[in-house]
Amino acid sequence: MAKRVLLVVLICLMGITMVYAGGQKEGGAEDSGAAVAAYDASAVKWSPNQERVVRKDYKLPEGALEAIKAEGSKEIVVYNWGDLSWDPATLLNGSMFTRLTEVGVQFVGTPDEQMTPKLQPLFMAKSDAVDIVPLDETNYANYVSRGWLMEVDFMWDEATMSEYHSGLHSTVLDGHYYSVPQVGRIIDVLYYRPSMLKAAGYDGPPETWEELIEMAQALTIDKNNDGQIDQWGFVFKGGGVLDGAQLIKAKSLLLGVNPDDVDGKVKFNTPETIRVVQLLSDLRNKYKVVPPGVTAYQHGDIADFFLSGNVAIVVDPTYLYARCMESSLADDFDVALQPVAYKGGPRTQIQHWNGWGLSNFSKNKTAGLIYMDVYRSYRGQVNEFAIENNEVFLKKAYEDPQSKLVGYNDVLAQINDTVVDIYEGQGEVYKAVIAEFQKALMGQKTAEQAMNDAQGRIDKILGY
Amino acid sequence: MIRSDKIVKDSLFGFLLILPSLLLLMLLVVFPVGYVLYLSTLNFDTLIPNFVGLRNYTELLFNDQFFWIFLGHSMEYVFFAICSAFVVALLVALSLNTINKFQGTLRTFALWCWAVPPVIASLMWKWILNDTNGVLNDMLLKAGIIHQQVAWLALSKGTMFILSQVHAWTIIPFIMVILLAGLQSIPLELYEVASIDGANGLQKFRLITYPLLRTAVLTSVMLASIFAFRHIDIVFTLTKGGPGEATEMLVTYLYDNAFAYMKIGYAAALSVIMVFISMLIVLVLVKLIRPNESQ
Repeated sequence: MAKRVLLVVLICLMGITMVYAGGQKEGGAEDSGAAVAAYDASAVKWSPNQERVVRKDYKLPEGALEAIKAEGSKEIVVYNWGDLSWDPATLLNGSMFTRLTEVGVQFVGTPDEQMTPKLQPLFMAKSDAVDIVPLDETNYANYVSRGWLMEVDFMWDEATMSEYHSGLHSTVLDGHYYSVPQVGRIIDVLYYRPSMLKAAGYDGPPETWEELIEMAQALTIDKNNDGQIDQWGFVFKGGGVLDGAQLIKAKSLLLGVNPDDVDGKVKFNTPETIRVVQLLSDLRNKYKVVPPGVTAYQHGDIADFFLSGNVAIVVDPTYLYARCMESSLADDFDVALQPVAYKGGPRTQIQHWNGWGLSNFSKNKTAGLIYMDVYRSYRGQVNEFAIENNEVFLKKAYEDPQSKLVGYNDVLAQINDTVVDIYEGQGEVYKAVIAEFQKALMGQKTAEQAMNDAQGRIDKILGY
Repeated sequence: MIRSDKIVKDSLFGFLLILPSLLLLMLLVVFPVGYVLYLSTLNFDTLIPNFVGLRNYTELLFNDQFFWIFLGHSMEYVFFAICSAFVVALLVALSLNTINKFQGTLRTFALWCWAVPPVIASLMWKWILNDTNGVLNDMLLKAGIIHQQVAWLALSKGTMFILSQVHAWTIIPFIMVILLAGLQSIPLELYEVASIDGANGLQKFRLITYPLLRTAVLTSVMLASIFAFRHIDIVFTLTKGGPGEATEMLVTYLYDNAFAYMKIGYAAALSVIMVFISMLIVLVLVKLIRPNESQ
């Protein structure tokens, strides 16, 4: 009897919770709207934005200090991708912000996989526990569509936008701005071992896919004839959602097609993209110049593999450069642009966008906006490139003497066409692409079947 | 004779004593469960979530092509992980129960892998299983067991089994500790009597050890199965569900829906279904393992 009573009480309590939660949700929506309306951007004279972002010595916009004081901000909370020990430029930019505003910065270093699981409950609870949110292609549009990020149109205009790489236009959603750029990594740079190439009779890195296949075959070697490959010619990222999908996209761009934007639609089964998947499958299954385990290789794994010393050529983001310089390979590696599909073919590159957004529920909005403004400015962007070797969107940042000291600056100078694509549902689309791509890599489906199946799933996800 | 108003007073006092715990329980269990149930009835595609009743549940159970496939993968993972871990844990527990020398040291060693955080263990296994630089391939090649490097995490079939064995490695100590405690509660006299009656080792195990260990077996297997069913670290670190969807499980599907696709209502419904599946696993295990009255 007592057990039954307890069960009934528990069920009633759960029911009350559900009703209470429902009531909160309705009220909460209004609260959320109120929080957005409450911010008055006119307290700070944001214009002219262009002049401020390109100044070599950053200067606060007029009225900023007074607005921060009126707001009562003492400290802002900034979530950061990964541990801060890897991000000295972020710390430096934070210090610069504090020096200018006397507002402290509490950084919360969070592993990539835990970022949304941590932020999402805060947003859903309309918590002010976070002010500045780190963004990338996978979370930005989702956060915006749910009203979690504050619109920052007053920080942008066409003249200001023109100071940044064109790819940044993709961060404008439905005609509105919700972010500023943090970094924009070039994800595909070719790293190679000159000594290995020389031993195989090559003077320089491959410049076309044809050359890559030929060289990778020559560089895949069983040194002691024991039937085991001791040196691999090439390796790519066939695992990881963003890594795998961007690999396909990057190669498709070299054939002149952007699968994320084929006449305004996401299309991963064009003949060009199928050709890319076929090429990658052939590298694994036909030419056998990449390790069979590539389907499990995610970002970081390629770098570790290259640094382990038994691969001749890899394509990886520019952050590998710094790791190579600190490793035993420092004197035996070089960097080049990744091979084009064919001689004279396009050299379009993906820029992996990371941005900052301001939580709609922040109580330190002006301070947060100034943090974002500092970060996108000349000095903030130079710090990112010169200290952390993260490419940035602000074009003038590459002209700084500090930036010119970066070892592969001459390689970057050859890149003149980059893309960034952001749309809602991108994470789910990429997941479908990588799953089907891996089936092609494993030989379970042909490249065409795999990409057609991926497209079927994409059509469903995006409601085409 | 005790007066009735004193009984009422005493029970009220008792209730007041447990009230803080009850409140805490409500805060930590009842409210979240109620809230998840509420979330599972919403659709979060829009700025303001809207009520969709049981649509998330019907969508999952009847229209989602992946749900049943991933449920099968989850079951495969739990089954192989628990079977392997149980067999090894039982052998270790029996050994530790018998060995008299260096008991403390040996038990500490046996618990060692339990002390490794799951994410660290996963990263460690990622390198052990690496096809080109991994120590497993190196050892097997040198021992002549394999003649080609094997891409353990990229097998057309069998990658799920590999993941389950990594999981088994992490939970062997947990099962072993419970079994060892169970073994130590068996009176030694029973074995002495059996020896006098001429029973051999196997007969002692079958007729004394196992029947008296069933409660410990049930507890350990039940808990380990539930833990395995909701475990994400290993698959997330090692394969991220690949190759293809070969190692995609309900728990990774839940993570993706909640945090990658932002389908919070759908994910909440999936989590509720997973709770019911866990309960079903418990019921099956109780039916299979629970000692009956006569035993």
